Amino acid sequence: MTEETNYWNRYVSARLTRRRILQGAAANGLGLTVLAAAACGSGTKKSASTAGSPSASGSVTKTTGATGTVTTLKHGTLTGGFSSGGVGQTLSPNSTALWASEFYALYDQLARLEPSGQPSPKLTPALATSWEAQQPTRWVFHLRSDAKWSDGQPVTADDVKFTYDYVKDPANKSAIIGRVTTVDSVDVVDPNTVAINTKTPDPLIPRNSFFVHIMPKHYLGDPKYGDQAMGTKPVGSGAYTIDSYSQGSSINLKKNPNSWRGTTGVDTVNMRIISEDTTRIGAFQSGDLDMVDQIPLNQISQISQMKNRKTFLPPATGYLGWDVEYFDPPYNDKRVRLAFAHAIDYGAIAKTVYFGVPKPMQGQMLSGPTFGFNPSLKTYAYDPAMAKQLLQAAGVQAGFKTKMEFRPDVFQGQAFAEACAKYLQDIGVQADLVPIQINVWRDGLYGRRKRAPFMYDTWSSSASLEASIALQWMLSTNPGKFYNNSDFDAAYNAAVSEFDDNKRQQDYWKAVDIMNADPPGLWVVEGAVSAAYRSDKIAVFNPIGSPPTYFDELVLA
Amino acid sequence: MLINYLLRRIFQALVVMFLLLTVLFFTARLTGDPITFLVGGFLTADDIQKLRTAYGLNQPLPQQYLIFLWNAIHLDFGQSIRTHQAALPLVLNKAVVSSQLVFPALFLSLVLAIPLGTLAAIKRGSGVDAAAMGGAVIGQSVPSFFLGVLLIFVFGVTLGWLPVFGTGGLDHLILPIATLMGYPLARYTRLIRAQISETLTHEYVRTARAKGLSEARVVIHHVLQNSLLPIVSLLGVDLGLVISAGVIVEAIFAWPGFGSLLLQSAVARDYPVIQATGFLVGATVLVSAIFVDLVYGLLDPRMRLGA
Repeated sequence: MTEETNYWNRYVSARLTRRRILQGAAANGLGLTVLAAAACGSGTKKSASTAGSPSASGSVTKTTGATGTVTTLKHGTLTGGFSSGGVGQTLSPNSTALWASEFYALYDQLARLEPSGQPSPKLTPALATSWEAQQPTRWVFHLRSDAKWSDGQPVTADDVKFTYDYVKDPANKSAIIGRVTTVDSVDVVDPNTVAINTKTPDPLIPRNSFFVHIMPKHYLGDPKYGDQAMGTKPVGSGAYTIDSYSQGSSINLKKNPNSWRGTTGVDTVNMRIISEDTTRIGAFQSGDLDMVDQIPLNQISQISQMKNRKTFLPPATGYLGWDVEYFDPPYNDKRVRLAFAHAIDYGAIAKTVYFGVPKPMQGQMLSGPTFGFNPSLKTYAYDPAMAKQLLQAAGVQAGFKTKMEFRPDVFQGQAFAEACAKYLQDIGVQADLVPIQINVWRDGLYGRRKRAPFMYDTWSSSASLEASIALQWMLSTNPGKFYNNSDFDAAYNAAVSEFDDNKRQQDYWKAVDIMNADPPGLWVVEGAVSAAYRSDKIAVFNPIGSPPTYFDELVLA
Repeated sequence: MLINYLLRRIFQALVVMFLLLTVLFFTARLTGDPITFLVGGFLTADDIQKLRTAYGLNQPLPQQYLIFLWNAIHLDFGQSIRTHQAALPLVLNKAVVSSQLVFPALFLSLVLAIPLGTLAAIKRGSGVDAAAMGGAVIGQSVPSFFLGVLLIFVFGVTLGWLPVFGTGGLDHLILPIATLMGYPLARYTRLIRAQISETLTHEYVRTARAKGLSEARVVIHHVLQNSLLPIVSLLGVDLGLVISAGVIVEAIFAWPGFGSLLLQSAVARDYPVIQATGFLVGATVLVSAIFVDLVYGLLDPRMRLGA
């Protein structure tokens, strides 16, 4: 008899039989199920009960506008479904460089981008009522005096200085450190005036302030709280404050009584993070959600046909296309790259691969709404004959082989790659398609590996729609090594230090002109995203992006 | 002796955990640089280096590994790169939410599989048997993501009976648990049917019938209890399978468990959370395997006699 069996013999008394053990296991299993159900029942608020139903309060306020007209605002609750990708992971704005809607609800910025009626949004006062460049390297912002944090403390210039200093310090690991790279120091002039000093003249400080969410010094700077507390119980000065939060799942916001901003009717917001497109759209269809973001393009027409459902296309911020090798032969001959540009039927790809939603790019890497977009440039003409002639002139023989790295994880990634490869095949270039994952792709962006001659890319100007954000990647000093054109560098550097909007725009146009004649890539279609909303619930829905959506500006029907 | 047995199992578990932690450390780092994911490509190379220094990612890999092991022994997996929250407590909180799906799914699978498998075995060759086995084959063949989407469209969108995402009341549990049950329910039904069919041929069953016992009594008191033993030994391993399947199910139903967290962390290359999650799942499976071994020994006298 072994030692184990001795143990069994001693341990198993007459009271402990196999039947009792089975009965106990069954009872425990049942108990676990009941406990789980009870715990779940006391968890997050039920989403369905607050969605698709008349507003929680149904109250109405009337405001009188400048013309004397009376506007009736309905107050109530909005329930929205949002895809993930950084959304809802934490409520601290240091965590991600993305422009998530909840950050614009909880926090203020010095200035806010608003729809302007033009393609490019305009900058409007927010925490700062006005600003001016006292010197090329010194911007002064005048803060409103009625701004308060959600805990009732006043917002002052100290908080603005603290925020910029905090974000700039790499030890704080802020993901938005890249938004303040030109900032040298921040001075408190008086409690309501703050000055931002830059290392070099930077006309984009006000525009880039859109990305910098002002945070409270007395809370974030207190070791008792810090960034961890900001991540779950934030203190902000935005139109909303946190009611309840389940990381990665739900964010329930309520109107911040201390906010200067107020709302136009949406007093409560229930954000539901639903990464799966099918689930998000299914919930929208069934009425559990009042709005959803990031609709797949192939679902837009289906949703548009649903009763009381509308889709909305915010301005496209970037493009979908390819980075093309610039330095190695034969690609270093611009005739080769121009041949590729004329080999593609951009309109056909927009129509067939992307369901007719996005527009073809117009011979530049900037989308139409971007400040700096050159309207005089046109889409490269689809001309395979000319493309073949250009290749011949450059000494490239038919049957030339190349590689195209594409991302199968993006929407229509493979279809897009196959379509482009087919067009290249028509001009005698055999493209070998190589799927790559996002981490490999990013290594290619940052120059940590040698890219294939063609690599899928999607440069964006971000929701601020300022050309420099996309164009900066084409500088000869960029570690990604996408481009090397001294004329382009000169035009870009002139643009980003030009304070006059018209002159800056001219400099951008010059930069994209240069790229058009000597393209480092193929810019095929705009990177369109879509949102959808219930038209019987929401009367005014006009976000500048998808994201962000400013909940405080939505008007309920 | 119990102590020696437990010590031996614990030592084996520690060796396995060490290997698991090593694999987690290196495979997480094979996936890419988390800093470029964090900042969405808006940084200069210099800024990226500063952030890598702040996160300790610029140290030599062996040094990072030793620091990681030392901290892991103290149950410190660092801070999430995305959220700056302590990784292990974050994962533990999410695991509690996941357990609301995992344990009920396993338990209900077993509870439903027992009568289904028993009936199928007793009525072998009949329509009941065919239906049960057909359902089992479908349950084991249909991927969980397909089943989940199907249930969403039938019960959520078309019929509007049940909510399709998130937490809330009891009704929020139904669809995700039903999806998670698909595979284990099918598997247990088939196994129980096979076990009972085999047990019914034993002599003691004939003896019981010959003694005049009713068929129900024969099946429930003699056949069923003996047939369930192999299923008990599977439960420990199946817990790991259901947890893995839960990653997909949580994504489909936007359930805020650690499966969703793991998916998002894997995409973002959030090393501390990936490692903490792997550690927690590994520890759970190891502990449950030891527990099942102990229970199996209690249930089966032949184990006690060292047969």
